[in-house]
Amino acid sequence: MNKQLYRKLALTNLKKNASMMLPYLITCIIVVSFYYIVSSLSMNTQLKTVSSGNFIVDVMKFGSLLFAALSVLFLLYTNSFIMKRRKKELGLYHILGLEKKHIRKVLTWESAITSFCSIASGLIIGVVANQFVTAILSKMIGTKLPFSGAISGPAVVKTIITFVIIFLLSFLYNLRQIHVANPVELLKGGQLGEKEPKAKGLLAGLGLGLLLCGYTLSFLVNNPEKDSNMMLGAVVCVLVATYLLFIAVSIQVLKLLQQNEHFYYKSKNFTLISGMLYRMKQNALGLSNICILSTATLLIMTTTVSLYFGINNTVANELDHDISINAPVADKDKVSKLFKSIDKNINKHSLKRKNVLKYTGGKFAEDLDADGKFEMFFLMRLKEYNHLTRQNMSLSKDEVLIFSEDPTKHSDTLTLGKKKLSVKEYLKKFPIKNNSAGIYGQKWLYIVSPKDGLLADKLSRESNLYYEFDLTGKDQDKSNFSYAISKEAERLGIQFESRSGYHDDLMVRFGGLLFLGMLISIILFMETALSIFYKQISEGYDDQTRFKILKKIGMSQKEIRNTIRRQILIVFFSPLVIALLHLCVALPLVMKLMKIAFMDSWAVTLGSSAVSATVFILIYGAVFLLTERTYRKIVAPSKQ
Amino acid sequence: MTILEVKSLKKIYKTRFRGNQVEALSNISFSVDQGEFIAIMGESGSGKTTLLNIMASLDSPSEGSVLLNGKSYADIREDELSSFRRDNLGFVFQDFNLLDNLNIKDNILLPLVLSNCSRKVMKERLFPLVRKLGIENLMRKFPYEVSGGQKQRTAVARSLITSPSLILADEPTGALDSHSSEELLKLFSELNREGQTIMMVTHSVQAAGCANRVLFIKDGKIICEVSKHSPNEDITQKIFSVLSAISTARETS
Repeated sequence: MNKQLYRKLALTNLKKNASMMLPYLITCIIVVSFYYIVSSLSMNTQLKTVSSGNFIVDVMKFGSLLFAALSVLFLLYTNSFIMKRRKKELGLYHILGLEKKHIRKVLTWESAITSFCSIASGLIIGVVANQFVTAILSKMIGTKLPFSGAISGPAVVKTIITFVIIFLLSFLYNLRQIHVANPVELLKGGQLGEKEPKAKGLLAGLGLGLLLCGYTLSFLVNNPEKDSNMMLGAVVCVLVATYLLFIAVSIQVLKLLQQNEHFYYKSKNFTLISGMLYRMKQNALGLSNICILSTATLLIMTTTVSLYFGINNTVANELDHDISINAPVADKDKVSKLFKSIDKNINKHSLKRKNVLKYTGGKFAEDLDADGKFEMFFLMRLKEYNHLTRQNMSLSKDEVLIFSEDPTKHSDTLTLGKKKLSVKEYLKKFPIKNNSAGIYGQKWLYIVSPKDGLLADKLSRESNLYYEFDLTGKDQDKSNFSYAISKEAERLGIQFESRSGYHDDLMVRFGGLLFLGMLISIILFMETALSIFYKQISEGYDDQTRFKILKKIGMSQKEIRNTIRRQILIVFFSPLVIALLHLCVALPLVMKLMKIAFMDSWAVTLGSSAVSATVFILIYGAVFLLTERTYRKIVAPSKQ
Repeated sequence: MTILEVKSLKKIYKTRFRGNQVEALSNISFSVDQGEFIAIMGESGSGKTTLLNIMASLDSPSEGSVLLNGKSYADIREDELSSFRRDNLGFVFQDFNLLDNLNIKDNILLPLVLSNCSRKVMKERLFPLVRKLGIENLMRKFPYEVSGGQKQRTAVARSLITSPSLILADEPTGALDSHSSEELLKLFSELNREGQTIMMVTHSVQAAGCANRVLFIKDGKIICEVSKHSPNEDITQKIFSVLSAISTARETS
């Protein structure tokens, strides 16, 4: 046989299996193009010149690794599905006299053609789309990027190498399939009688128990930073429970329904339940995977979207004022230079100051309640306090005033080494707020001490000048002003923070995260949809005979159609329903996690999850309609 | 009393290319009386399966009509056809066509479930039937756990459970060993003696020998007919001679 024949055979095979191959190829192409885009961003040296650009580079590096891992998993999985379907065809070749080595040659041609096509088209799409994607990224992070998404050689090479390896792996898998199978087996394909699934009461109980356990644990997590073990426990419980839910609980429920004779022996339930029992046995694993992937996608969408849209909330939580400056009292000259520049620039940008706060004090750590642990506290002189609060309090040498962020701690005396200090009063509020604490961080004490007090000598050794204020005026002016002052402060070596600067910084970080989150969601979603599509299609072939018989026995086209629709509906949407349930239950935990990043607006998180879920359901629904149509064509072709 | 009437039936298939026409059935007419056991014999491609499919209302004729109990198939609405089929016709197939995922009991009950019968009716009909067919011990088994003969008995039970006017059997012994075949044919004869009308398509002379009347079909036409004059008459010899006559005719033509 000559070479041309193999190539021709390979081409006709691909054409003949087009409906089977096309979704796979489209996914391959999209995965390749996304991989290229992410790689070209992660390898872009100019990106590092953008402020916080390094962060994006790291995010994209992570993204390209993740994409490669997901591609291996999914493309191999889908490929095995297609191979299973094609066993009969390959068996036929065998019977017709093609030897294994000939079939191997045909397969080699097929793989070469599909791999070349998907890598080439993926790269072309990636290169073309990269410009738009760069524009989108630039919009999302609110910063002009110093490049336009031109073709990147190293990224092209990396993409080609990665996917050649992945396709080679699936090709080797296919060869192995040919190698181990004998022709009769190949001809039979997947059609072997299967036993009815056994009820698994114990496992089902365990699954429900674990689910409850995981959910409860997730509610019990108070501080994600401290309770990370509990959080991990919750995740593991829910993960295992999801598998058990599909493997055991589903079958248990169906069995119970089957035992209820009045329910089971109804036309609309009979074929559905008996069919579902088998479906669940074969597909429990696949469905749980789909459910877990959907949950992951939903969570990624929710977190990245709410981080991005919660930036204002984060900024407000982390910085008390538009501008905050702090410098050692010793650096008086530098500070006065900065103040001059502030005065000048405020006028230049036609802004006004308000809520001005200027004070000195220091941050210290000392064991104040003799429990062996250090307390963090902010120390301020009485004079300063009286000035800020317009009061006239007086304290004796060993007395202090305390404001505690932790209202549960309440003791009348403080110890400092061997000396004791008495607390004159626990203050209800304090004029300043120290932002280094964080939402979960250490609870701070604010201590006011007289000039000659026992703590006061700390301040004479080390004290800082704090200057904070808000701005009124146009946002653009505020931002320009903040930028000018930050440059000046940087030059002088003074610590400077502004809300608008921080906002821009977060835009880049969270914008980059959102960007990657969207790409990951799309890929995860596509791969989820793809595997559920192939699952249904291959079930369709298994169900073909079943529905043919039902038709002969006297089931009408309409009834068959209804049964099919309900069956697919259940198989399709059960993972989605469970995933949505997981998402709902996880929301409180997500909000607690968001707090680590200073985002505590539940409205934003709730809104993001609602939007993510809606988008997800809509696309999922579209995939459902497509799948149902294809499935029906296989199972119950309508009369011409 | 006439149960089934087939009137000048014609079925023409158009080939996909060029629109060539193939006549699968040309002008077939016959009638089936209540309580008859009819066998249709013919070679592969003679049109007997097409005929059976049309009688089963699974296919529609190009010309002519089929009447069951005086009602023409053409007058039945498309969406009522399947329930009509379920209630009036019983099917036995060569490859049993049992559903793998249902146990024997549920397979038998399937037509009743599809008609949404009450549980009481199901129970009333099921037990006498399975006892008669000797499969009462297999109720909880699945098709892959029982023998071919038992599968075919299950299929017969399924076809009988709706008490249909007519049973249509398509090569019912085709996949059975000789012992099981004999048993099945005995069962058919017994059912027929009890008044059940049966129509059977077959290759097997032995099977056809059980029928009271045998129709021979060739190239889409009924070319001759053999019938028993008394219930115990052995017509196997007659069938043989007709078959050999048909094949010699082919050789000479």
